[in-house]
Amino acid sequence: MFQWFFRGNEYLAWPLVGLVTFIIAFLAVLFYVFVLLRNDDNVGRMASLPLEDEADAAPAEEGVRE
Amino acid sequence: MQATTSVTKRVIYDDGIVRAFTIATILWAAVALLVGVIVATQLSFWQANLGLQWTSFGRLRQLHTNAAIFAFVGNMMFAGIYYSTQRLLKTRLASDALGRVHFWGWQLIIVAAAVTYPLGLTQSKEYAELIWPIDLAVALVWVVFAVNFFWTLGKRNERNLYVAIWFYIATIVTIAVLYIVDNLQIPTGWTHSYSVFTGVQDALVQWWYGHNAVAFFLTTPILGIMYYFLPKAADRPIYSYRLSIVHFWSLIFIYIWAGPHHLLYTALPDWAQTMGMIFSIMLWAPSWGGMLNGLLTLRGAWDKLRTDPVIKFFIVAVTFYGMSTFEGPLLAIKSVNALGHYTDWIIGHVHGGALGWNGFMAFGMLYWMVPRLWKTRLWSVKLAEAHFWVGTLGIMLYIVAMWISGVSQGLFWRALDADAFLKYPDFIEGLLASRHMYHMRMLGGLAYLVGAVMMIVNLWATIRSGKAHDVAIEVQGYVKDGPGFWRLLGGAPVVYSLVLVLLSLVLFVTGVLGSAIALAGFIVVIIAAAMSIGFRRTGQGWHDLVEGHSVAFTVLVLLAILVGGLVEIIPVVIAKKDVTPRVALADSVWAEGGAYVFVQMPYSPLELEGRDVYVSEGCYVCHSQMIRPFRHETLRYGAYSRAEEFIYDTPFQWGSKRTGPDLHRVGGKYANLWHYLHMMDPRNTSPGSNMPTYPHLKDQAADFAGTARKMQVLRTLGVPYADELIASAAATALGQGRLITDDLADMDIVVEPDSKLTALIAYLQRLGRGPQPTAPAAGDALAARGED
Repeated sequence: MFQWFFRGNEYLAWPLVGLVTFIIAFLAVLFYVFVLLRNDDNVGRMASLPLEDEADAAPAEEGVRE
Repeated sequence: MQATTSVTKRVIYDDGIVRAFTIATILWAAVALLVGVIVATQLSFWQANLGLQWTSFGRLRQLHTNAAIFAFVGNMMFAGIYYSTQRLLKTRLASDALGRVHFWGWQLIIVAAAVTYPLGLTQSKEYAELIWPIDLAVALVWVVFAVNFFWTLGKRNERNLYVAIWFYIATIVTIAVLYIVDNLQIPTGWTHSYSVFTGVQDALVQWWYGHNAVAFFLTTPILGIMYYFLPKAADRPIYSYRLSIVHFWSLIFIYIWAGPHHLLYTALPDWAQTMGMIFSIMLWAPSWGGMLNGLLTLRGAWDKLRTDPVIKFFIVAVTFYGMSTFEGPLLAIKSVNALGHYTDWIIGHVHGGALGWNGFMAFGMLYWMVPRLWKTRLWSVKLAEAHFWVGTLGIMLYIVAMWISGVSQGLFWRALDADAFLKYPDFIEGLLASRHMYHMRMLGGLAYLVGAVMMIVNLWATIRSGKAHDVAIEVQGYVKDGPGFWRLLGGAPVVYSLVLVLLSLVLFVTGVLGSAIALAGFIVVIIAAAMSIGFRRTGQGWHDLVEGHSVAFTVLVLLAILVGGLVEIIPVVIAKKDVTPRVALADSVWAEGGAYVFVQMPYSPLELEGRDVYVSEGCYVCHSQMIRPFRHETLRYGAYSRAEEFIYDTPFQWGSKRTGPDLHRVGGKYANLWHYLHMMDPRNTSPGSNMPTYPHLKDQAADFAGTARKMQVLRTLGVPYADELIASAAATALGQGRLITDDLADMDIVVEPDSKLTALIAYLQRLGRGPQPTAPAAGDALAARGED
């Protein structure tokens, strides 16, 4: 069907290359994230990085007046 | 690997710059929303411009959109970025001075925009309307921001870059690329320029920019802010850091492709439209991945939603993000777009994102940040709660009104009777039917503004009760860890990316054999990359390494966004040579070798000046110049628009909304007198119209002295103006003007031949009067070729 959609395009290779490049990059990221990072402790530390900011902790508890 | 050296440092954050941008956010929010309510009121009651040219809808609408995007969200974004970046990198901003230059430079740009738009100084490219001197200032200030940001990355005390920082990097890099390319222009004077792109190319580049301004100015930085502030407010880490990696890379890669969905069923090549649609639908997945990641961060803490207004704002904002990113791809499906495009549905979609996602993220962030920046407590939680509910009600009123109005308009325009002719041939009927929805929209906007005023009062009282406070921390800093820059730049991720790009080029320029080799190369590179990642010789994944090196990370981001941009734009720019700009003595279609060659005439000097009046008054805001290939459109407006008809149109004027009818083939449809009466008061010819009056055009003279310069610039861009015509531009314009004014004088109407009104009438009468797709009679065709 894609040939029908792209029948007027003399540059069919361009979108196809783009699509292929995306699929490759996407699969690589998925592979990396869900296979290689499966047991990575650093992920947990990175996820908690915003919460390491101790200086903001106190106002967070007292910063709202009822 | 370089050795890690730990040192203990005391760091005092530069929260002064955050406070400055915070106050600017609050002030500009009020301005942007107020102007929004004013323009909404003008659509309900046209008299609301008070009869002033400076406050007409066409001029104020640009002020509203730019104030909302660049002043309100822009300042909010900078405040959020400066606040979170310092804390995530555990370092002070690299340069206080650059921060202040950034702040004041940005405010001056906003003020310059607020002055120039009401004066009618515009490029007419949506969200990039600023005239070229201000564009230069934007580029300069953006560079200052980028230098300060990347310099700060360079002196950070945290090795890895948190996901929020990735989104900020993508924003800085991509906006720079988009803004520079879209604003490539040649000045003709201090306040006027022509884009180097014309017609279809200009449309594609503009919506590549326009769509990605939404993506990389209104989405990626706000996602970064979400990834920082939502965990802080919920007091728990983001739901899935792994998902955020997938979210980031797939979002920035896909987003850049989706621009052509703004041009479906236009004269843009069909393949580009289809590509835009496909990538827009693909965008659903990463967008919803991000939304779910945000919402699920509250797992186990949903009770906070009842008591904490900050969480309320954030959760509703993320929900609106999900809704907008569902609606966007839906509208990008061609069959849905055929109904929704040019209607109020698009306005509803945009405001769901702007008011719901951007606005509520901004409000949540401000309520969270202000008490901390001034070391005090929020003045009134109840008032913040009231703001939340009034604001939510305002959004719902607004978008529901626009949904009903938009779908109704789409159905109204396409309705055919039993004989397949227009059921509602008079455009104004549809507008009149939308009036109640326009009133409802105005009330919704007003409610949202009232909520914002509540916030301003609340935050002002909060600030007055506290004292400016800069946070200080003790950090264990690190000095370089991981491979050096050049080693990393030559490392696996960057090398593989470059090889893939090269293989892509081979695939394009070679035949079947070359393509096969290139595809095989793709497979080899994938295997090599997988093995490289699998080995993890350094003990870390490559993403860990790249995260630790901001320059390499930025290079990868740049590659990701360039792929989409280049693949879309280069073929269309190359295709320029396929449209032969032939000059003819008269508008006609010539038969040549059995194929019809369309011949397009350049604009005359007077028409050129009239076009500038059209641009200056912002007519494109309400009128399109693009007839789509549908029966109901060709019945209503005439033959559908074709690419070759726009080869001399810079900037293109296709528009994106039809509050009024399409004008592409309005030329010759009405007499000069009709146009005169219409511009004096549109109700004269179209009872019920909400268009402003334009009597000032009759009294203002067009600048014929500058016409020759404009024509010279256009000639450098490829418009075939002869030397003689350029030399006699003013006289020729005056001569054509007299033809119009003499015609009006027959009806006892006195208009000067050099007035802006005369020029505008000349331009409108020219529209769509190029070649028509009708074959000439055989005898005419042969005569044109000099044959018997």
